[in-house]
Amino acid sequence: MNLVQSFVWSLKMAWRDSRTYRRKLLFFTLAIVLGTAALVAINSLKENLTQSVLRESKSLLGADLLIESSEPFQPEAEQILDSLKQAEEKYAEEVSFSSMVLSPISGKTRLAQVRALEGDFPFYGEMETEPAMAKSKLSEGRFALVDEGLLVYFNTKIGDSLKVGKLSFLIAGKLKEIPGEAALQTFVGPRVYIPKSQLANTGLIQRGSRTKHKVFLKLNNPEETQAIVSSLEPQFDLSLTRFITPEDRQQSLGKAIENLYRFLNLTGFIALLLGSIGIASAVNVYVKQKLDTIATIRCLGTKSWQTLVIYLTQAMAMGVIGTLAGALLGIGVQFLLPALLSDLLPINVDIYLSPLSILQAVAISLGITLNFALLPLISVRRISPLRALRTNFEENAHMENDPLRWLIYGLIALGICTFSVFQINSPGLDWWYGLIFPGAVGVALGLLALITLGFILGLKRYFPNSASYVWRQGLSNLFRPNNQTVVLILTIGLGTFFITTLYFTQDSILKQVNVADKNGQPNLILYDIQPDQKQGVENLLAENGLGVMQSVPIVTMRFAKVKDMDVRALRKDSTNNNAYFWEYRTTYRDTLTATEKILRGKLHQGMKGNEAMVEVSLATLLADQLNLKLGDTLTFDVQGLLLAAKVTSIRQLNFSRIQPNFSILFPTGVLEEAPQFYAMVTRTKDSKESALIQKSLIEAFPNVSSIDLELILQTLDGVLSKITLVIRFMAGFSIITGFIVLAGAILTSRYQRIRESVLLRSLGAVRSQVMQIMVIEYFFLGIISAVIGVGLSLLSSWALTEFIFNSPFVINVLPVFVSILLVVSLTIGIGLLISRGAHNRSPLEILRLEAT
Amino acid sequence: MSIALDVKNLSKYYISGSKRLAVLEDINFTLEKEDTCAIIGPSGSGKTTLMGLCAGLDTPSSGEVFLQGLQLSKLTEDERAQVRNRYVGFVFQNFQLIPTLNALENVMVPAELQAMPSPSKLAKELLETVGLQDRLTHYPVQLSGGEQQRVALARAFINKPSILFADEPTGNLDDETSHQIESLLFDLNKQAGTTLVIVTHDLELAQKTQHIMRIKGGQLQDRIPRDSNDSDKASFISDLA
Repeated sequence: MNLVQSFVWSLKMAWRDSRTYRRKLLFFTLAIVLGTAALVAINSLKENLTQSVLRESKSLLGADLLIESSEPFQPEAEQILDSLKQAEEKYAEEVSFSSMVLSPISGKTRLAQVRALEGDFPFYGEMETEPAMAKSKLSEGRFALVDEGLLVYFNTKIGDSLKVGKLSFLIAGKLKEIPGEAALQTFVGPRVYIPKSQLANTGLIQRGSRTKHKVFLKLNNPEETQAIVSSLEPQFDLSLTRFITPEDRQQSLGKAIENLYRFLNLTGFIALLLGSIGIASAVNVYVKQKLDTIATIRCLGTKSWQTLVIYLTQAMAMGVIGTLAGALLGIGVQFLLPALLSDLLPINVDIYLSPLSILQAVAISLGITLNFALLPLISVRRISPLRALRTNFEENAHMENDPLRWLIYGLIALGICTFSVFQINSPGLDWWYGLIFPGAVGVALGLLALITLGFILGLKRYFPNSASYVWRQGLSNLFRPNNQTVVLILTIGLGTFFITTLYFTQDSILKQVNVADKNGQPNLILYDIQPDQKQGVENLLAENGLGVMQSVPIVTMRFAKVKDMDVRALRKDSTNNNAYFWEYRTTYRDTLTATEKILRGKLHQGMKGNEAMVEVSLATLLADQLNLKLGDTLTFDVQGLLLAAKVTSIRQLNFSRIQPNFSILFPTGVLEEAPQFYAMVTRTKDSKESALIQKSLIEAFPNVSSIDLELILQTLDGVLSKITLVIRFMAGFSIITGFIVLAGAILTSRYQRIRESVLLRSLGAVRSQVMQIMVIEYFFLGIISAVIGVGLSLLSSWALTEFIFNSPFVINVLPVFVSILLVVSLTIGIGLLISRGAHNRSPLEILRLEAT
Repeated sequence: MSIALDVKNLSKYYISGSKRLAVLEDINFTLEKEDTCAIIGPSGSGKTTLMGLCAGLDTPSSGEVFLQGLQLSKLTEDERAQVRNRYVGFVFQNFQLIPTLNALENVMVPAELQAMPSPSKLAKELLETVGLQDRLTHYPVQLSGGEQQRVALARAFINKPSILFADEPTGNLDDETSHQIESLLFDLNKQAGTTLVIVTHDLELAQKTQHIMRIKGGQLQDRIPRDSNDSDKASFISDLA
């Protein structure tokens, strides 16, 4: 028999040998279906998104060029802009800022993002409104376009009025979609468009007001955009002005899409890894069941490579079927994802099939699955034909020393690391950042495996011998050979870990803000109070029985130099951190508030005027972003005046309380004479009182903005819910995979369970006892997975909230118990569903059925 | 007569902790073509180990096995598999049929492995010879023990082996079926001119072979030579009994 004939025979034998196992094998393929589906969907979506961004690049900006300044343009700049407006095809202007708006009908107030617009913006793409032509009303007088969410919040409708500053506007329509903007923005700051011609009359623009001034241009020759920008840049103060082209917007959106894609892809990859572990485990048991057959065909003259081909072919078939089914499902999911992500994406995504993306995902999935399946499969090469003579023959003694096994371990590790490094690959990031993901998954898996093995060892050592029979039998089933207890706990535990981490983190952040409402802490913050309004606001609060808990002076400024680097020069490189260019609201004091803590250095103690440099304290977040250390020098541009300073302390801030926090803190004796305004914090009895005082404030001081705890909670909840919905959807792939692996593992040992059950029943056990034994086994599988998964997720949620969100971790006990209960119930439910019939059919009937 | 199996100074040891456990020690014998031989002995005496070594299923600790003149210890496991496929037939106590293949496919396996022409035709003929022409598409689980062993016999002879190893071929069968299988085994063996090695506890079965070798404690204790007559064999057997 030549090589080709041997190979063909092995394929034929693989087909024949899979008989009676095909249904089971097909079931195991389900384990990789979801992981593959996730990868296919995400890969395709990325391609669709990238193409959509390319296609809609101009409508992302709505213009060929946007000139944006954080301060009103200087007269010289205005002159240049005027000549541009005349020379080019079209222009529009917008001034935007945050301000309170009031609904006279409902009496409710809300901090909104007011945009005073003049001109026919956008030039590309459509501002979708209801009614469709509502936008044209903006040029006709005191009309406003309002975000749909704000109308719902105010309980008002089109045709009602809305007060912005001192003016009332008629709501002409609701905003449905603005090109280049994600709907999620409405949660943070609902948008209100008013005519720019009415802006001055609102009385909202005061000294120190944080405004953005934009000029949108439609150029005669859009292909010359870059040349125009190059000619304009030297004529503008680049520390204040930015020139944004569709390509810039496309680039920054591309980055955001890349990040989203990486994150989603990693979650999909986790599901695939879990499924692959499940496949490896199923193949391991399958091979064990096939030992006699393998030994027999070895006796009859099959070579070792032929036996490997036979079982590898079966595993490959599983992999191919699973991957193809996954690809089909993934294509379906691809059509679902844009709906889930719609609020996060600033563009409409056209969904179409991307063969290359699908092929890429399928290749990754197939590669990973096959490597995992190979691990147990390579042992078939070493199965001795002697086993056909002696069924108790042990040949596994040298399996661990098989160099091929270590090669496959290496390939799997290399595959995962390469995938991850490829995913994280980004300019400015070292390649080894990509190893954090496999490292973290490895640590989580290692911990789960260690705890599980520890539990099994402990159970064996301290076995409750005095417990009733059903308990003893149920517990000892956990370490029954081929039971795959560790794999089951790994998959279900890891799925639980991912899902609950997301939930606990979100819950903790929200709960922390809720806690802030207690203990007499402030729950309403007012800002943009001009010096001449300070007394009036204090009086108004006092008239309403409210005290001022804190009154903070605020001075706005920018960086002119950071560690001797000119910020204007830094502006030319778009990869530089935006924190260099922000406008900062700073304050001055020589003490710490209750929410601040010095991490490094020493807090300044008032300036006497004879010091060489002003000492400043930075928040950790800012220091980390700009890589600033103690002793670094900074030059601030305080509204035209340059001020040199030195970093002398780094503070940690706690953002969980309602009070103004400052990234930059100055000592007393420096900024007192600088133009400033104030922020105040107070505490209202309840949300009704809060609403009333906000209404009085907006009527008396329209430019004063306020934000209360309820609004923060609503905003946080809205934003987090939208983001976590996507994450949970993806994490769902992992947990469902976990349960498929559980079902597969139970299915694998079904015959063993049935035989045990039959034996027990032959020995006199009643059906209820057999049932109880199964429930006990599944209960322990569920409870161990759930407790370890939830335990690890509490740890990771703590780390996330403490170190990423800088907020103390608050445990909500109820969800912890509900999560555990849910996982245990699902495990028992699925276990009993798959084992159904094992405990209540005639022993003889079952033995005959299973034997066939 | 040419030599089918030549066993020289064959020993097999296992290391258990610091101890060396001898399973077979210094076994020597020769079987000529068409010889029939029974290896008898108590459980754990090393019979099956001897058979495994002779059939190239295992490697000896020392000594040599020459099968059809091929020195097995010089061959790799895959080369020994080829030797088994070409020269060896097996009949096992627990039949060892492949549960996922039907009777016909089970019988065809060795012929297919050898790329023999028309394996299906050959298999059908052999199954007809063993009286299973109506059971071709039945799976092992659908066959009785006797029928399964008959399929195993057909499988053992399909590659026209030079030597057939039978490990307790009637060990799992009732008396009546045992007799039928024994008859079939010897008839087929005679027709094919195969050397036959039977490992058995069944002294009555052993008596039907030309040679009888008794193994005890891993050593060849007694041996009845090929030219012994029936009364010599009977007295050898009765001594053992």
